[in-house]
Amino acid sequence: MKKTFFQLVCIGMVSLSVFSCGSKDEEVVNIYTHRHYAADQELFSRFTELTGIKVNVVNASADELIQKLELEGANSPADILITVDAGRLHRAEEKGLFQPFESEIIERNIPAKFRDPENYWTGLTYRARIIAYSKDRVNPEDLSTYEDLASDKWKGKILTRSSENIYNQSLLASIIAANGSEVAEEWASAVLANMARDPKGSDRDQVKAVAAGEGDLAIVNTYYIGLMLNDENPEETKAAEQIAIFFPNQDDRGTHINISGVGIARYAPNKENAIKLIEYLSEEEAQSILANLNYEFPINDRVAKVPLHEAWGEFKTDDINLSILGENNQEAVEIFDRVGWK
Amino acid sequence: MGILELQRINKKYKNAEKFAVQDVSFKVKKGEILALVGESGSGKTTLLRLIAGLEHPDSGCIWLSGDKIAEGRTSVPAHKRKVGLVFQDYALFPHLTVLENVSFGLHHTNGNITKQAQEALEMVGLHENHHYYPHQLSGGQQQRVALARAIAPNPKILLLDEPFSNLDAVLKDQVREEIRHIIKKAEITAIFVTHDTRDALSTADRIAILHKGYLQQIDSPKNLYEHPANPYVANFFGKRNEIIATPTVEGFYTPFGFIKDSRSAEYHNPVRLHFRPQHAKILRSEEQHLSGKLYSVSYYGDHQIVQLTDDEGHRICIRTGPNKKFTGKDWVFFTLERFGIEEVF
Amino acid sequence: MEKINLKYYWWNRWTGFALVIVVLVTIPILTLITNIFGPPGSSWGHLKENLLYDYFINTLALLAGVAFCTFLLGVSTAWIISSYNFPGRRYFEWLLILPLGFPGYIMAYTYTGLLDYAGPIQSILRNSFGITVQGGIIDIMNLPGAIFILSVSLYPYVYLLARSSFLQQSKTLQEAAALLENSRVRTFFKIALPMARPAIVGGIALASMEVLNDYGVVKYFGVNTFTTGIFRSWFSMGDSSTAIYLAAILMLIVFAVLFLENLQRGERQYTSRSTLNKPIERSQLSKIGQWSLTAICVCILSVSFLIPLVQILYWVFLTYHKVINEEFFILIYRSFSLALISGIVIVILSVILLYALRLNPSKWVKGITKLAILGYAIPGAVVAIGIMIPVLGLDKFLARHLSADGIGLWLTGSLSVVVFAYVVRFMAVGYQPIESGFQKTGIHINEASRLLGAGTSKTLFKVDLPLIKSSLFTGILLVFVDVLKELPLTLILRPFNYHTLATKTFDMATNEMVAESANPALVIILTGIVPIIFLNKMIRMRQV
Repeated sequence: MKKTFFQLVCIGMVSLSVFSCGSKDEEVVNIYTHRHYAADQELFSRFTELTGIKVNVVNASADELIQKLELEGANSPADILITVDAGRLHRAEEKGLFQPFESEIIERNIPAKFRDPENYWTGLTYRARIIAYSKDRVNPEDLSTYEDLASDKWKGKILTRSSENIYNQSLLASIIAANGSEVAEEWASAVLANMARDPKGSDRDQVKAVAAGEGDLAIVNTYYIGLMLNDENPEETKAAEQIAIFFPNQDDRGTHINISGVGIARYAPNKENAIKLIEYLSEEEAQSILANLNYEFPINDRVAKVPLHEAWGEFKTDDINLSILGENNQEAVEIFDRVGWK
Repeated sequence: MGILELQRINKKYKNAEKFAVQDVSFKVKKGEILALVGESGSGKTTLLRLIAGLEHPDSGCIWLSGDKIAEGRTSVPAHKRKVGLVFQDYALFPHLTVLENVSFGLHHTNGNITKQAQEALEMVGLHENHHYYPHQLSGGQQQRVALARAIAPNPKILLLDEPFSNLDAVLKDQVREEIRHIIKKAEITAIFVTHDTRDALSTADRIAILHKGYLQQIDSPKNLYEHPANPYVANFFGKRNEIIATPTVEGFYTPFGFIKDSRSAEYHNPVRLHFRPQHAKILRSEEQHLSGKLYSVSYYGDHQIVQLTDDEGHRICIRTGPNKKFTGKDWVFFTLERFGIEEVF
Repeated sequence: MEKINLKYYWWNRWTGFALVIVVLVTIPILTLITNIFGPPGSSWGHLKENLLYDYFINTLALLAGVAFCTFLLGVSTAWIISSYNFPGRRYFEWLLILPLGFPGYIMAYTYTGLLDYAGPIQSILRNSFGITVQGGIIDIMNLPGAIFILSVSLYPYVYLLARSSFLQQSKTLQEAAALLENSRVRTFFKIALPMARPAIVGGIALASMEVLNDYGVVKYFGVNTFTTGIFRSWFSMGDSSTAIYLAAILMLIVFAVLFLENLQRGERQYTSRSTLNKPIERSQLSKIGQWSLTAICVCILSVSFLIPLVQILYWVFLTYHKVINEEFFILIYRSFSLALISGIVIVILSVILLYALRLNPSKWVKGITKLAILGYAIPGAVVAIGIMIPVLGLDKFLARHLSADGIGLWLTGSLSVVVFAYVVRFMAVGYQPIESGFQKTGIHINEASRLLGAGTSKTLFKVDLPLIKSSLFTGILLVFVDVLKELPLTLILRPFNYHTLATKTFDMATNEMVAESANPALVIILTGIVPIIFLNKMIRMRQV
């Protein structure tokens, strides 16, 4: 009894550790991604269908993934890092986690403003952080800019999520870039004072809170509205139907946008496959799926517009260099902490 | 040559301040039954466990059948010692049958294991219950299984931890005899531990008295009783009366009167006279005898114990027949048929 | 006569193994301690000024709030179960333990969804009654909400220990009650409660450990605590030194709680090892009295278990067609096998440790075995960090010297590291049932076997182990369930492509797929319930 027991355990341990090494025969591409949308699975399956390359996915927050890449160093099995925020892409680049790549296809499909000038990363989709307002209670004429949200007339009316989330961090980063740190800090403080409740919950929760009358304005990402309007749960749809969206700063720098983007890992073992995947994601088929299933704005402008996006119309985007979102991130976080925006 | 020898064994438990066993040495002869007797805390169980190898001495040596099995902090592990031990709670293996229990120690021997086990069971009179499980047996039966199990592998020495303490008084005599009989029949050397002197007196060939870790005396029951080495040992075997007396040329002056005795000539200072309750005799008349104030009378069916006091309240006990009457008497007269003399320092 | 060798008696192979195990298992703690003495990270200053205070206040508030609520819930239920007769008492006795199988973080998502704008309660109010609930009234995503969720899922710890204590006091209580004119209430306050104090405090300490370990609930509700701070420093700020500082502070708090608990307990144990007492004669109340007790139990059970369960079942019903597929079964298989292997490994190691102690109950052996079970008090996130650092170092070292070409990381990202982390964290869980199993068997059996010629190993396999079979099984079962539920540690250490049921649930819930997350959540809950039912049967059997 004793002998077989130990043997079993040894076999178990060995097989567990070997577990982590994949087989070396098939073609693979290993992705570290923060994206968590159902649409992605479809895309990867489709990619495998087309090319025969298997897609291995590790799903975690961008921060964890960057941490992982750092610690793994040259031994990292990752080929690609996908984030939902430009700031994190920049941070990964700064830490030397990316290697530059070139591809004609990518250059053809993706406008330069969405790519790193030194080719360390590229965007795949973009999203705008807009103001969702209660159709019943708010007159869109009263809305203008992000900066205006600090004014007294919105006291007790604003809803948005925690500062922990990178979407808000990047928004503040863009405001720092536009107006300087001092003004940005005053803005954050004033907006916090105007909030209807403590910042918490997801973007969707903010919309639902507007529908419930807890506040009048919510600062949210565009694609969530799309998702809510098409949700299985009718209550979600009903909530989303009670708001309308407004693109701030149309008369000055434009509405803040952010990208979901990708970079190739510095020690990527399957660089060729990685480039192929990125190329695929930039093509019409993938871009269309992303727009239709996830309501993100496609980066490839040859893709036909989704009806919802048509309804929203054209809008001016803040075209600052997206790297700046990353450069200002630390300061944005510290400002949030100082003013107490949790 | 003895089977077992202990040389200057010392043992102290980690948390305690005092030594559990101090400088104990003795030998055990082949085939004899030795009783280790003492109060709780006297070190008797510790000694047993030291011999078994379940505890280890701080210093000193233990020899078993001519081999050194312990010296200082090194020792032979218990499973190699070939020592048998019957625990106070029997420690039978609950998941094995009686036969399997008894066979347990036989697995590395040659020959027919089952046969040997059966023989051991027969010796204790339990050969019919071999397929039972321990919980299906009575306490007495369990003890016998434990005994058979310990004896079956022919250990060099058999140890028993308080073998009689779980029994009620009625059974005790019977069990004492049985166990002595079995041990002698198996021709095994045995040591058992008890706090009850009667167990020791009836079952053992020799008795060792332990007190606070020290060995007080080791001797045959008769010698211990008649020639105790010190008051502690003397008191162990029953009450011993003590009277302070002043010697004169002819005898001793005691608080109970004068007693004539030629030995008084040898003493000049006050001495202590000691005697057992049964060595004093109660008399009717007062001629030339000792007397004391009657304190109490206790009836025990076949005898009575009378307590007398002197003027200062010191008490002595006298054993007398069941029929003597003491009603209406203040004073009782008695004499000492036998007594010992100790110097007082 | 053959010469037999004399050996030093206090050194044998079991002590050796035990030492090795203890050294390995204390690596994370040692790593953290040695790293504290390095300089603090870059974000420490900022953190100290702006956030540290919050972490402290929130953590203390959580501890105090949960201690208070679990006290109320646990002691009241334990008392009515042990002292009164009322309809359904026999069932509630074990039903009230069920919330232990419902991890806190799952309850957090469930209640949020339940009370959410789009959730059933508000929807019904809006659609059927035209009431739109002003947000903020039933908003639980805050500190009080976290206290509520944690209390409601952790009170069984206090319940179990208090109940055990009350039942053991049975005879004393009955006599005391008679003296106090049979007033149950006065008996409770004057006798029962003080006597049960060590057990109650012990239960609260257990609950407090879980509070300090929690990540899922506080993260979801936006309550900043040390654990969320650790995750944030480690990942968002990329500042591992600060993360280690926070981990060290958290450990200190843990030790403080343990120390206080130990202090007030003295040498007493919670559960007496003596044999059973007569079952207490329970008091009969009027019909109204009885039914109100039943009502109390029903309320508590509903809030802490039934209502969230129904919500989970509803979500599963809505989304199972999307989630239950081949991948889901692979997920289950992976989670289960990981948990099972961890359970077996821990039980084996515990047996080795306890056997070494059994053979040599000296102070220093006792001390080192206590070190081995320390990990249970350390929050999962802290353990993970304490392991990551040396493992990565080891990996890089190996990679350099074995000239790894395309072998990739050997240890990091492998499951053996995860299992090792589980061993560090959950050793105590397997250790305790086996410890009590050995105690019940008593040492004489072991000694008898050895005196009959069986060496230490033979004795272990032929005598000691067969007699503690049920303890071994219990140990594996308890570890299995704890590993299955574990979240923060697994989040940090899990390998490439590997999700457990717990991490998948967290992942889905935090990514706005709360309804879908109910599927893996349900599997966790169901597996969590099984040992509770089973254990309770065992406790009852021991009492009967």
